Amino acid sequence: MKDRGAISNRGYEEKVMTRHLGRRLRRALRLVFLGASLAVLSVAAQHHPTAAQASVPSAIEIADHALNAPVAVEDEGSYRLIDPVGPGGLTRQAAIGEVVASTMQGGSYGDRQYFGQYGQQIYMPPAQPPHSGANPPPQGGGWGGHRR
Amino acid sequence: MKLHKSLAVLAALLAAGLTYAGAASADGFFHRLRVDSLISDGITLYRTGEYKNSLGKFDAALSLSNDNVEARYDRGLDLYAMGRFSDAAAEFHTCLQQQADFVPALFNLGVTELALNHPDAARAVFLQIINDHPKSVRAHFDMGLSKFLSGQPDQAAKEFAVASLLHPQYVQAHYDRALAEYRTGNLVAADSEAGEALKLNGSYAKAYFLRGAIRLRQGNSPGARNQFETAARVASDPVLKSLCTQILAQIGA
Repeated sequence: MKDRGAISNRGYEEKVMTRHLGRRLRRALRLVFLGASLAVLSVAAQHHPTAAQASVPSAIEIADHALNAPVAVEDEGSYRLIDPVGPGGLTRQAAIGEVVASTMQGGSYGDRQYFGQYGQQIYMPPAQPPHSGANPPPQGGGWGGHRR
Repeated sequence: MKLHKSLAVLAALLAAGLTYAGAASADGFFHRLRVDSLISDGITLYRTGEYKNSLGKFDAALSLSNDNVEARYDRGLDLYAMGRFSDAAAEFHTCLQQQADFVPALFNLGVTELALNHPDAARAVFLQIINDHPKSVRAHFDMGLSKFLSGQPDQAAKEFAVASLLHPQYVQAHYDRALAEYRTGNLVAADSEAGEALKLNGSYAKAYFLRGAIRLRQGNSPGARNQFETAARVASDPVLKSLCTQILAQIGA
């Protein structure tokens, strides 16, 4: 009975040992897995911007966004249409001359289209009323300025 | 005796005819004067920005003389100024139905089609003007705008090139060509044309801004910084200034 009991105790100890080893192995594996996951996430974070970073456009993105706005192109501003014709206005011949001339007549050179006109389309809305400069404000719609 | 009687009747008839013609002529004269006066008032009001009152004058002129092309044309300008682009286009169309060779109405119709965001219709108008007047700098310029709006920057660049060749001091034509070239990816041509615009107008903020973008694309950050700083300094448009500030913050020191 004693021998049987000794054999039985040894078996019990072996079982306990095996269980302990299994637990340790599983813990070790969990730690390895966690470490590997952290490493992968860390590498991914280095390559992909966070949500906060992604919301800040790059310099070239801001520039291209502005240059793709309709207002980036220039027109004649307040000289866009040919003047009124008739008494007190242009003669018919003068008006025709304005259209067919090979040089600009009465044109105005410089910035005619203001980005402020399309402020909401650009990244930052105007902080103050636009068109405080020397140039008259563009009016109307479509391509902007028109002749009064 | 009979002859005398006949002569007297003839003289009476002639006198009556002349009196009637005189009265009709006077009526015509005063009618014309009234119409001209209304048009003149309408033009004055248009120039002072009183479009609604101006429109009233042209309406009155047209009520007296419905086929007056000038009053109708000027009415179209008022409607455009009031943002009623479809109505303005209709008036310019009517002018052209009445006088097909009234090219100012045709040109303004093209501009109005652009305002209506109808680049194809605008292109057809400017093409018609270019066919009849190949050296029309305005038609080439606006044809460039139409093609630019149609998403054809390469074709637009060609039209702006013609406009700037016809009139080398035409700053906007150089700038727009630079922008069109930038869109096509031809940075060398874009830079060259932006430079031409800046030679003509050293405080052209948008041209500096465009040059900054060109430098960024070329990978030249210090050069880009320099252009955006200049653009921010000379710009009178607060949004352009703030865009430059944002870009400069992104470029860093």
